[in-house]
Amino acid sequence: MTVKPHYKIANNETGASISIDLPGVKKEDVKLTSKAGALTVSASRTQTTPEGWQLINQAAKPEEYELDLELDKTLNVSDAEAKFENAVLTLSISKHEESLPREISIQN
Amino acid sequence: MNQTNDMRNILPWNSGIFAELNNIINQSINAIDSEVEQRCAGYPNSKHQLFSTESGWAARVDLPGYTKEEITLNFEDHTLTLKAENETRGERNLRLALGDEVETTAISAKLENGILEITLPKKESLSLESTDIEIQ
Repeated sequence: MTVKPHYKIANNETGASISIDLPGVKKEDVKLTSKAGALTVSASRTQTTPEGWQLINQAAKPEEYELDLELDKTLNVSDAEAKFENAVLTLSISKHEESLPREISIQN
Repeated sequence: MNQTNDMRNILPWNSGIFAELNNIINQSINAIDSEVEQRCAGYPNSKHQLFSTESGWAARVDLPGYTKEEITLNFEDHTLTLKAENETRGERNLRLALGDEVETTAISAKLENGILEITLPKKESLSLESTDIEIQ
């Protein structure tokens, strides 16, 4: 079963930070690609159930995570930095040079 | 809260179908509680799977974003209580009511890839086995 993982985006002046929850996923099973301002995260959650274990509650059993994000044009997606800790993928994406706030000095 | 404990001594809440029913009710209550909590905090529910195993129970709880130091696990009076807390993700709670006697000294838990797996073996029902007594 493929599900969309839960994620949160935080924006600030210099860029954006995205955290994506990927429980049950190992770092090597995370695939992160970017293309023309769009970001795709896909991951597989491998978890075997020991013999003799029977599920007794109504729980979803996700096997694949897939997330497509269309990002703001000011963000430089190709230079995104990613880190994976405690099953959370955190992406730091900064804005393109020209989109950053800049002070323009006035000539005399 | 104490009143429900008293009721459980009188009625067979901890065996068979009642255990399952109790569990479903508790889970629904927990789901609603944590749903409200998490919607306010902006994060989703903790998903969990509950298994019956050959030796007792097992639970797998999705807890991405927490280290094991940030999670407290407690077992008291047939109830497993979990609390995970940190500054980034806030607080997450889970309570599971389990029927049958759990061998509390044998409960084990491990956190791997953001999933907390807890195994709760049942007490050996030695009292049901018959013992032959030799006459001197």
